[in-house]
Amino acid sequence: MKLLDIPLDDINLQDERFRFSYFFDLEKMLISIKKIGLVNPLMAVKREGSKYVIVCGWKRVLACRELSLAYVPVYLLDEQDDRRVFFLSLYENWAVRNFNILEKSEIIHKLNGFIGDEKKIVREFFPLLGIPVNLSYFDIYLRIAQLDPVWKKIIFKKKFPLSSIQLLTDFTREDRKLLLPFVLSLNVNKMKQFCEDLFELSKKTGDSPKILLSAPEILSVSQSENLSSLQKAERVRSLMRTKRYPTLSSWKKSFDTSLKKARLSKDVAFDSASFFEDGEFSVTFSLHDKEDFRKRLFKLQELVADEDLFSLFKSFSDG
Amino acid sequence: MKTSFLCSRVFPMDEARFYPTKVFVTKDSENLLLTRKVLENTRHLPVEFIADSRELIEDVLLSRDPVGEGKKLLLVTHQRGEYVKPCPCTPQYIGCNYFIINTELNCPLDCSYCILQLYMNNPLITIHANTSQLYTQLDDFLKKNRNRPFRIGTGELGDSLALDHLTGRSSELISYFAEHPNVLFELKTKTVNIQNVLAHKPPGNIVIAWSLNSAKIAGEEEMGAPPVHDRVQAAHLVSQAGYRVGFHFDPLIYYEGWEDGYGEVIENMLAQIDRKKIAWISLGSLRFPPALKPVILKRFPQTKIIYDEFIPGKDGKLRYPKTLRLRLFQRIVKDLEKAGGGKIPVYLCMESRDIWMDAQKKAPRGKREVEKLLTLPLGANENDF
Repeated sequence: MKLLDIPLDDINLQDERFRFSYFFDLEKMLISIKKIGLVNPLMAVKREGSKYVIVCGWKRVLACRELSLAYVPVYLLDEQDDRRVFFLSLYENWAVRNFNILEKSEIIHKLNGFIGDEKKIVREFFPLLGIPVNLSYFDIYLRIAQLDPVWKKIIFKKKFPLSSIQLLTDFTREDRKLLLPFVLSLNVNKMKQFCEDLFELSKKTGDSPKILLSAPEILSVSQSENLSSLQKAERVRSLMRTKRYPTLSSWKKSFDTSLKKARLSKDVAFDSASFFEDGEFSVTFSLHDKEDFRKRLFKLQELVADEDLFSLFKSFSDG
Repeated sequence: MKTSFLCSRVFPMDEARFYPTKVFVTKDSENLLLTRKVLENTRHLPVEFIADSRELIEDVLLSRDPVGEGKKLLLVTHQRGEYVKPCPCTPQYIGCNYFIINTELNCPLDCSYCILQLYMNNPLITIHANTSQLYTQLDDFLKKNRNRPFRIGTGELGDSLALDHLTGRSSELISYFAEHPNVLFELKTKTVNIQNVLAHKPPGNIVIAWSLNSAKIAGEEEMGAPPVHDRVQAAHLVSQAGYRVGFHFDPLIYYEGWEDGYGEVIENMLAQIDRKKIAWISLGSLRFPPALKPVILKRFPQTKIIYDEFIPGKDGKLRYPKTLRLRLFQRIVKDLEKAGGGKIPVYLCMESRDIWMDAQKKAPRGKREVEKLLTLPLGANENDF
């Protein structure tokens, strides 16, 4: 292994045979290189056409390129066997940091190319990657590796958990394209809920996601010019939830309607925490002092006479 | 002998009986009597003696469908833990003070809703062959509980009779519990594997119970299990032979036409079985931990039962909303009454007191009361608390 200063242009950045990290936040790296230079050399091998291929240091080389550096320090490896070079890259990184889900998926994808024996990969490398030793996870991670870059970017930015990514991979590529505008503005939990509802509704009804997303009420929201993209996403999510859970949604609606009719003060909250399961409701309110408390209790006592409100208790608890 | 003959005429047993593709025996179990019996009954199958089952289990766990792969293999080994345990029931709901004997683990039947799909420490069909420990533990347990009637059974972590043609376990257990009249011993099954049971003189404290469902659900969701009609027929043969029988409508599953589906089974059941022979009927609605949903989705992509409306219960399991559960229970109770089974003890599995009350107009104060109801001599109870 030799330490060299090589022209940045001599690195073939198109050759990603050892690469498994694609999404970086370069900001800190740029500041650091500007301040003190690139302290930690890259690792590379020389391959066809006398160009250098990066083994370790993609983030560093991209930062150097961004800063228009002409030369970068490189440890040049003599190893000719790509498989052994990839293992070196893998272990070198593994020893110093944790891999994210996208990196793991890319590692498994590359290992599949280098080794080809799925059982061997699962047995030897999954414990290393912190993945359950089971072939179904091999399939899941390979599916993640095949996601479109646009989805990978969202996954990286929003830090999707595996369960959410798995949900995405249950859709076809075409369905995922359709999903994109609906979920882009949602946070991870809401996006997961939306995808789950859509997927399950599709399974339940036999209608494809495309058909479900083309329903007139959904189109009227998604094509509205008066709503922001977040408002559209929220409304479509809510519509999907209502379609997926019609009974529970209708209960919630009639509960909310009754509360609205009762004209409760805004800082008094009526709630049924257990999906109307045990017929119990909770009332919460805040207060500042004894007098405030007295007034609040007086107002609540007035509510006892509200037959409409208390018909709720009967309808939900009786079933 | 006569009923055994009739049984083999009624059910094409050999077609329905489970045989694994391979038998594994751990070295420590090689010379046990039950192991020899199993090997004799599977002599046409390849056998491998292994020092330890861990590597084998790890190998199966590696596969894409460990549950499905595990169902093809039979492991004969030692039970390392306790054979006898209280039924775990579920927190926050009324239990029935049932005790379970874990003689076998896992089940060759493949029901989409089965919770065993989540217990992945060992997915192989496993026979615990160290029976001397079983009976020592049972002796101790029964000694401690000799002064009260209670219920105990196999069939919690596997089907009680699905492996009976390999083990003959039912005969041994029936003989054993015949000597303990304060205990109601239950064998719970979906199979028609009743030849060993029929070959035995029926003691009064043995209950052979079937898990029943509507023909539609059984056909679509209970892979490998005999049709419901055959199960009822098997129950008929067993009750004719003198046994008490029990039925478990669990899980009750909601679908379009469920009223007729379950109604037909109840009608058929009470047309064939003398209700005085029925020790109990349990009702339980479909419920499952959220973690089971992706497993069902993966293993049974055609099923629709997980796409209904569920709410998380007090125990964290997903279940139908209260109104729907009540409709299911009330209808079954009504159908039972209509068909003349109004006095059969009915209990709800994993339900709260208010659901008991709404479903049956009466409710136990706790599990001891449920136990009391279910351990009264046949016909002596008024189905009341």
